Amino acid sequence: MLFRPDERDFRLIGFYAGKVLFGVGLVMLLPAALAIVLGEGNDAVSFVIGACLAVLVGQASQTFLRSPAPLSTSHGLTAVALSYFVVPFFACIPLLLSGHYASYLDAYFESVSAFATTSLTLVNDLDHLSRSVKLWRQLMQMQGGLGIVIVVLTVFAGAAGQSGLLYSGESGDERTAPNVLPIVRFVWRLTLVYGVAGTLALWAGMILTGLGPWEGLFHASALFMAAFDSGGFSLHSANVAFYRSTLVEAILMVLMVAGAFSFALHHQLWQGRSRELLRNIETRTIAASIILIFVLVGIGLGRSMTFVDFGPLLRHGLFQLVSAHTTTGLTTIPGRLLVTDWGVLAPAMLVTAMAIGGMAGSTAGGIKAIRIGLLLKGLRRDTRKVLLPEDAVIVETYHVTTDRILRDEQVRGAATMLLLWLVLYLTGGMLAVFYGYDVTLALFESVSAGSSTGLTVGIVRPSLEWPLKLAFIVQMVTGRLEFIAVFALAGYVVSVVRGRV
Amino acid sequence: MFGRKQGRGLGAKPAHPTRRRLSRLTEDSYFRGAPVGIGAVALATLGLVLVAAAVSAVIALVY
Repeated sequence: MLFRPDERDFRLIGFYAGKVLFGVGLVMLLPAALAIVLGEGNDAVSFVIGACLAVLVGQASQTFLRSPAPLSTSHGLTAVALSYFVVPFFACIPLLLSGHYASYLDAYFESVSAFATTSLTLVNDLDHLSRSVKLWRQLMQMQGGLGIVIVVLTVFAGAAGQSGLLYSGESGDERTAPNVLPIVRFVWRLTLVYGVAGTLALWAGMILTGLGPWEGLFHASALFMAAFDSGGFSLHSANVAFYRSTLVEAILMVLMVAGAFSFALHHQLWQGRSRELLRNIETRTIAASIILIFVLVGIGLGRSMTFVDFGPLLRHGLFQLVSAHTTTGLTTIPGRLLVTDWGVLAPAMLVTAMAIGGMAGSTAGGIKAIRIGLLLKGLRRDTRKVLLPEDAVIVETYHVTTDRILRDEQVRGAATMLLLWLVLYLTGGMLAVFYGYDVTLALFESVSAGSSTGLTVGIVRPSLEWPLKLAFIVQMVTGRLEFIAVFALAGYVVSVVRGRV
Repeated sequence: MFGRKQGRGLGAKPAHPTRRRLSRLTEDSYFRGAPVGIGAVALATLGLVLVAAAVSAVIALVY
């Protein structure tokens, strides 16, 4: 049976994408207000222009594309994917008008990177970017990071039953769907509490580093958004090293870990079920992965004589690793040092950490710990099947909120997703190799883009070839949305191109 | 009129389990769990730092 979308389908998708655009346009008024307060006149005008365009087009979509047809899973997924491509077209207008981006494509790239919580950047002279534009970059990350969680909770949780293998590797409990609204409320409450606590803690750290109270508050709130939403945009080109503060780095590590925890796990912890931390398959997988990778990073750094003293090794090695594993992208060292001073093993381990990523249902990207955990469990079950007598009944269990029995389709789903992730990582890497970049650097950058991390070894820069910019844009959105939504959008595009409408 | 009363009190109709779950989730008392939740995350990070410190100490000794 051929997929033949009709006018109602397109109207619905446009209607909901318009809603998202309208909302983002309203959020753009926040940096506009800051620009007015701080006397950044040109930026205030550019934010008002961007906001007006987004609100007008968003409202027009809602007015003219209204449809009585019910929203199905495929409509929802396609609208989400379309939003991640269309919204940055408008959100990047203030970036472009700031004069810090060489072209519209660069500003669009930056905006996509923010919404995908990647933090790869093409900005020229970040240190002199106005505060309102810096705030807008952080706010885009926040919307992208939290937005995707809410999408996962609503659309994807509902899709889990229908889209079969692709999503059976997700931790999304089928019972999530009817309870979506309270859980979304919980996500907001959790963000609010972490926002207040995290910003206050960082603010204290900023003041101790010598920043003034207002400047410190601005930096604290911006860094909270960067760390908790796995975004990773910093306010200075020196990134977190700008603050030269172990305290700030420690607080950021806690926030990055919190951001990489699934909201379902936070929910359990807030209910006093702290044992979930020790029993959950995802926390176990991530803990084992971080420790194992840190050992290898340490050996790599020791061999290359980069950090042979206890303090710097622990401080820089662990911070970079936690940032990579949580797919945040904050860093305490310049990216080029990863190439020149870190040897081969340590950066390769950072690539592995970025590729794995955080937990499903968190703001983090990457393959996700649940899939790695399920695959390892499946492998253990199959090994036991081979070793034990043929009539032995082998049941493998795992724990996510409750004890569950491992099913074949879950392992198959996780394997399918793993394959898709590897293809995504390799495609971007090979394209960069085609343009003449070293294969290790190309893979580092590609995995960083696909897993929404944003650590860079210097390939992504304003002079990057435009086809690679476009490729990384597609990679960032595909990785952020975990394939199926982008595939759904591609399905609609193909049907239009082939005239099947 | 003669049916069981809605709401609280004697003879009130017990809420549907889903509704009970929903109201439990939306209660403000949820904020009370915040210190435990944040504390657990902070402890997990501390545990990670301690393990990493032990690993770093060994590597610093070896190299």
